Amino acid sequence: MVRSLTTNFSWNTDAANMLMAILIYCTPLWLVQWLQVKTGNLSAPMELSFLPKAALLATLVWMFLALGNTGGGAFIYFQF
Amino acid sequence: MKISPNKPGVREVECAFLRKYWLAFPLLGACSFLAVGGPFWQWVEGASISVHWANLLSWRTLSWAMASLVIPAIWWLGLHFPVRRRWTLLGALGLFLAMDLLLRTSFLQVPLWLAARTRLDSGQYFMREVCHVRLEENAGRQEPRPAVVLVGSSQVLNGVDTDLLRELLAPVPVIRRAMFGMTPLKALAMSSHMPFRAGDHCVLYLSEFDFTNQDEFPFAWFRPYASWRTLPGVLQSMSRRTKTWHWRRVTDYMLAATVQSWQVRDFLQQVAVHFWAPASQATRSGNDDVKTVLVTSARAELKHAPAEQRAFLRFAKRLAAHDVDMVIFEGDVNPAIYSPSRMAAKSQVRDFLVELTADSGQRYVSREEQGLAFTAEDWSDMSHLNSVGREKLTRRMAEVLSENTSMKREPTQ
Repeated sequence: MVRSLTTNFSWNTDAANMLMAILIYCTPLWLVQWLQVKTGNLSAPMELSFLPKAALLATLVWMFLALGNTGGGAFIYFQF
Repeated sequence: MKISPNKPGVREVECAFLRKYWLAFPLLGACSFLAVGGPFWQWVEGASISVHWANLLSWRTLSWAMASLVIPAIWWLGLHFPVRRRWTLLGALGLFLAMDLLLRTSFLQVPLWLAARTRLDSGQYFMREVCHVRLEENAGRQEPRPAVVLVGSSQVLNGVDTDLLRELLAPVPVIRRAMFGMTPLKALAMSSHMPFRAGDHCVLYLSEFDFTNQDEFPFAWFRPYASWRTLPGVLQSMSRRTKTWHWRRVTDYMLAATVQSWQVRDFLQQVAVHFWAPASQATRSGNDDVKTVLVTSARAELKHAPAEQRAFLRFAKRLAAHDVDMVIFEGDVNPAIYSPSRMAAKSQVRDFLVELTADSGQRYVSREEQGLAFTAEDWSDMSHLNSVGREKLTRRMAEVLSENTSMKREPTQ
């Protein structure tokens, strides 16, 4: 089982979808962490200049609203 | 908090990034413009993507690339002329509002609903119907002639053959605004997405099925149709206890009416997690256990939902205000789930609707007048007609609507 977990990889549409979802959800986090590592400053995102800071804040709020998890689910209709 | 004093400051990192990568902005701008021309729509449809790189050399792409230089220019200005924090926050708010407003335009609405529809699995009936409604809404209502607008639940979706009704009523247009799980309360919530015009006929198929055993606050159903034009009426139809108990749902509903990103979030997430390809075609609702539970629920004791009646009165007033006639067909369910309590509820709902239509001069077509007398062979399950029952009901509906002389009015200007 361990071998199949570590070696049984295949590239298919599900894998492509998962990779893209990771990119969409994690890109802001990676950008912030890259900046923190580059400057050695944990509060670097708050010291950005006007445009990148405004864009980062707007994107985070937008992603929180549009893609955030609120614990609820989409309405699923069960036909009976 | 600075933890490595030997590393460059944020300003130095930004300046170095701009010096090194400023050309990436026009290049990305040109590529994004190239995508909008064709590959974007191929992605929306879930088809294989082909890019014509030669189009990079067109004047339009070049001008878009030049326009993209505005971004590094503003960034550079921000670095050399720092602004106060409050202006940055205002800038963030402005950008967020711009993103939300852009999401409301047909420029993004059409690809969003098309992309979401392509990426739904076969069991997501409700979301598929939302996509249908929102796409039709974006296309607009072209035909000036008064139309028949079908409003109702899955009983209407399964019980009325829209194509056959169009054929029988031609040239009168038939618009479908029926949704899975729709009740009067939900119809009221969705009414801002119903394209009513003076002279239209709103056709409903109502019975005790729509006025009993309903979810007190179906916020996930409301969310994609939330609007401040209908929200006050919906909340006023509910009891104070319901609103207080479900205050989180009320907040969700109000947020959806205000912010488009929240309203369409279920669909955006569907696109985000199925970015490249449609979802698998596995049917979510094909679970026999779920069906058994729901059939048992259909046979259970019925509990009246007063909010549905209040909402229906508001919906009727809204139609009257738009000079839209209402034609109510008395609904039915499979005789297999008839019970004394169901027959009592059926009678109560009928009395309520008869009284309402008599007072307002609207049309109520009882089961006796329909004369269809559905048997067990006309139903595919406990509440939905099969193809045989569907044809019977559609043809009878067309007869009743054709009899109505006001359907022959001249087109409105």
